[in-house]
Parts: sequence; C-alpha cells; structure tokens
Amino acid sequence: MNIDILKYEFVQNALLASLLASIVCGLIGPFIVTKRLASISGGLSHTAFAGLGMAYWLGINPLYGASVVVILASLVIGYNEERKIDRNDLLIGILWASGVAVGLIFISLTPGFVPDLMSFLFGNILTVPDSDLKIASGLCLIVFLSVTIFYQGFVAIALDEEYALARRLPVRMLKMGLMVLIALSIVILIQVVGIILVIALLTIPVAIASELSQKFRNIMILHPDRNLQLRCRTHHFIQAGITIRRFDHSVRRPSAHSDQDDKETFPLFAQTVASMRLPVIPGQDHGSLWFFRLLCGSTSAASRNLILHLRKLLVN
Amino acid sequence: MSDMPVISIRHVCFGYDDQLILEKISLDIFPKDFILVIGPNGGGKTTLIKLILGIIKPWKGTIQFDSSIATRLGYVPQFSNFNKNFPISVFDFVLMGRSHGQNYLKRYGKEDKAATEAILNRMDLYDLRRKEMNTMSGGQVQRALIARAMVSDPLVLFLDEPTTSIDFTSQISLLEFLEDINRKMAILVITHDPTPFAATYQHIACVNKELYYHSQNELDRHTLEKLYGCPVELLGHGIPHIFLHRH
Repeated sequence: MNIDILKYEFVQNALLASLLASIVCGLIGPFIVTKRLASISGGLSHTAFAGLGMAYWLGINPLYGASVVVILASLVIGYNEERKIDRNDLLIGILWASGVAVGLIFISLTPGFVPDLMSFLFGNILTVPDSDLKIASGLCLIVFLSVTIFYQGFVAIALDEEYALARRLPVRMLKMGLMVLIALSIVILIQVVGIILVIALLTIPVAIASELSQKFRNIMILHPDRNLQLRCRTHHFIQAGITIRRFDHSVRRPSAHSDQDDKETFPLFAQTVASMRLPVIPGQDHGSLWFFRLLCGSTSAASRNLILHLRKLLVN
Repeated sequence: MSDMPVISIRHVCFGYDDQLILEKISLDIFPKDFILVIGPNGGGKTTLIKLILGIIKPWKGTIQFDSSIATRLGYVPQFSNFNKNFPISVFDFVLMGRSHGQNYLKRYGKEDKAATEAILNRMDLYDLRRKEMNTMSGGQVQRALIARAMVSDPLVLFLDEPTTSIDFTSQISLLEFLEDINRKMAILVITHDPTPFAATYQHIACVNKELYYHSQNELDRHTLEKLYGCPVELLGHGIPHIFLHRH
C-alpha cells in the first residue's frame, strides 16, 4: 500500500465517507434484508434524484434536497403500508420512475453549468466535500443512536409484527421510524456510491455477512461467528477496502494502459467478492443474481473512470 | 370460579373492509377458565383473539381488562406467522416475550434471562437454546412459541390452532402441559378439532359471526347444527372418533 496517497485531503475524505457508509450499511442493511424492504429502498434512493435536481435548480446543497424528498417519500410509503390505500409495490414503482423524471426536468431547467449525471447515478467517492461529510456524520450519528435506543423494538417488528402489536409495542411509530432511518442512510450513501448502487451496499454486504454468521447482531457489525473468524475479519470495511486496493492498484502502475486496467479491476473486484463467499448467495433467487451482475458491471465501469481520474491528477 | 372476570367483552362488532365478521360478541373470561373456541373456517375465531389482544381494534363495543394485565396476555399464534427470514436463536426468540410496550427501550436484565431459562427448561428446549429458529422442526417451533407466550407470566393464555402442526404424542404432552398451567391461568384455545380437549375444557364458545357460549355438557346437537349449518354428530368423552353425516 502506498501511504503517500493518504496525504491528499480528498483521499482522507473518501476514506471517512466510506467508513460512514459502512456504519449505516451495517446498522440498517440487516433490517432491510430481513424485513424484505429492498425494493422500497431502491425506490427511495431513486426518488432522491428528484431532490438532488430540485436542490441544484434552487442552488442549495443537493444533499439537503435529497434528504427532504427521501424522508417525505419514506413517510408516504410508510403511511400507505399502514392504511393499505394502494399496493405498495405499485406506489414504489411510481415514486421510482417519477423521482428520476422530476430530477431530470429540474437539472435541464438549471441554467449554466450542468452537473455530470453519471456522478449522481454512480456517485464519486473522490469528490466528497467537507460540508457533505459533516452532514453525513450528523445523519450517521442519528441513525446510530436511534438503532441503539430502539433496537429491541426494531427487532420485534422485523421478526413478528403481529406479536409486537399483541405485546402493546408502538408498532406504527417503530415502522415509520425505520423507514425514516432507511431514508437517512440512503442520503449518506448517495454521495459514496450513487443512486443506483445504494441498494447494493445495503443488501449485498448483509448477504455476505449472513453467510458468515447466523446471529442478527453479528450480521449488523459484520462480525463472523467464532468458528468462521479465520475466513475474513476485515470485511466490516468492504467498501473502504475495495477503494484502497483500487487506489493502490492504479497508483503503483501509472504507466499501464487504461483498457488493461479496466480488465484487471473486474477480476480484482470479483476476487475480493469471491473471497467473501458471495458466489454462494446468487444461487438463492434471480433477483440477487441480477444485482450481482449489475454490481460487477457498474463497479468495473466506475473504477475505470476513477483510475483515469486519478492518473490525470497524478500526472499533473 | 371467582366472581370477577379477567377480561370482559361487550357487544363487539368487527369486520374487514365492509364485510362484517363478528357481530355483537359478548364474553367473560374468568381466572382459570378453559375455553375452547370452535367454529367453521372464516367464522372469525382468530379475529376474536386478535381483538382481545389489541392487534386489531373493534368497530363497536368494548373489551375491558385491568391495565396491569395488558402485558400479561400470552399469545401463541399459528406458527406460520413469524418472519422465518430473521436469524434469531431460540433463547433470544423466547426472551423477546419479556418485552412489552412499557419496557421495550430497556435492555433485558438478569430477571428476564432467568425467566427465559426456566421456561426453556420446562419446555424441553434448553439444549436447543442456541439453535436457529428457522432450523427447528414444527413441534419444536410450537414449543418455542408457547415458551415465548409463557415467559411473560401470563394471566390468560391464547392458543391459535395449537394441535394442527404436531403429531399425536406431542398433542398428548401439550394437553398435559395445558392442564397443568390451567391451575394458574385462564386458557383460551382456538381449534378445528375439539376431540383432544374433550376431557379438559370447561366452556365452549362457538364462533360463526355470532358467539354461542356453553358450559361443559350443555352443548347440544341443535346448537352445533345451527352453527355449522349442517348436521353434526356429537362426540362424548373417551370416544376417539368423530363422524360427520353425509350432507
């Protein structure tokens, strides 16, 4: 590992951002997976695009716009589920599509410099400014405190909602709260991985952790059970780890041809994933298999851009 | 039988959407009652229990009990109801029966863990306490569900179809267990098949939109035929088979 690279502020920010991302993913991801809220989370993250677009148009920090819109959308979905006004998957589909559409309209309405769409969709961990990092840390703290305080309640509604009602737990409040926490996590993740891959970070590490551990609490901190500890202790920082390896890879061999890098990054990623036993997971159903492919494809695309970007920086 | 009912239900009506499921239900549950709730499918048996437990709210009528026992109602649902996707050990699953609306923000204490261990021992689950819920057999899940209900030290225990998913020997031990705990608490059992309980029950409540309440030996063929809408053969104690007339 090339230590020099840690001197750059943008690298420090990138590492901090991925650390924050790994914390919220660990706290919220297990609830999303066990309570089968993956499609809701996907819908919410795409709805965030509307907020990003509006904030750009208004000239304020895009994260504020995203936060407001995602929290509103999560409350709408939560309320709908409570009252059974309409089928939730239908509502998610509508929010998903209209969020992206509204975002595009506002971005095209914005005069002057048009921000790069790809950076919204795939995020850019290298361009996280200090201000966003502060917001993300605040949100991360809220998520952390809420999950610690309401842990028992959240577990109760994830395991057996009906029983929680029979035990007089405030189920409606807890469900709404969980939705809002998912919304906040999505806001933190958008900057790091972008709208499209939010869902990957919220679900795939959990799937890997579930392979390594059968205990909910262990899955949360992505800590393998005792007998499996040898396999991989460091995957708490999956995202950070992958990022570091990518930096290392590209910095050590600046002369390599870009196409070659592209080809190499993919196996590198695949190998990292394989060492965490991911291939066991896609066997379960078509949905996760599909996501696995999408993740591999988009990560290799994103990392190629990242490497080109870095090389330019280092050459100058 | 003591004079004060633990739970008293008065003129309760409930339905889903605009379809009326239960109409003018009145029922008193006294301490140490053993009530069988029978009736045809869709007659509203489970709905009645859910109303008493507060899972759903009645349209009309009242369900009264002392607020101190709100946390002491044990519920054993039909076992298909919980999220099998959720990784949880038997111990933690049963322990969750200790949390309720007033204490769910606190962590579990020594008392909670001791109560859980005691009930796990009683239900022959202690050796399985570290096992995952989703790897347990039907009978074991059933016992874990009963343990979860029992760990809150209930005054009234509600069981929804406890005999459907277990074999004959487990049924016998379940019955013995229920008879034993009936000395301390009231029990209300929903069942399709009252045969195994024939020697134990004190009252029978037939639910088919309305509720017909009978003490033991009061039940006659006429009422049952009215309830099920078809001729029914009654069974006596010790006679193991039930035959339905052709209809």
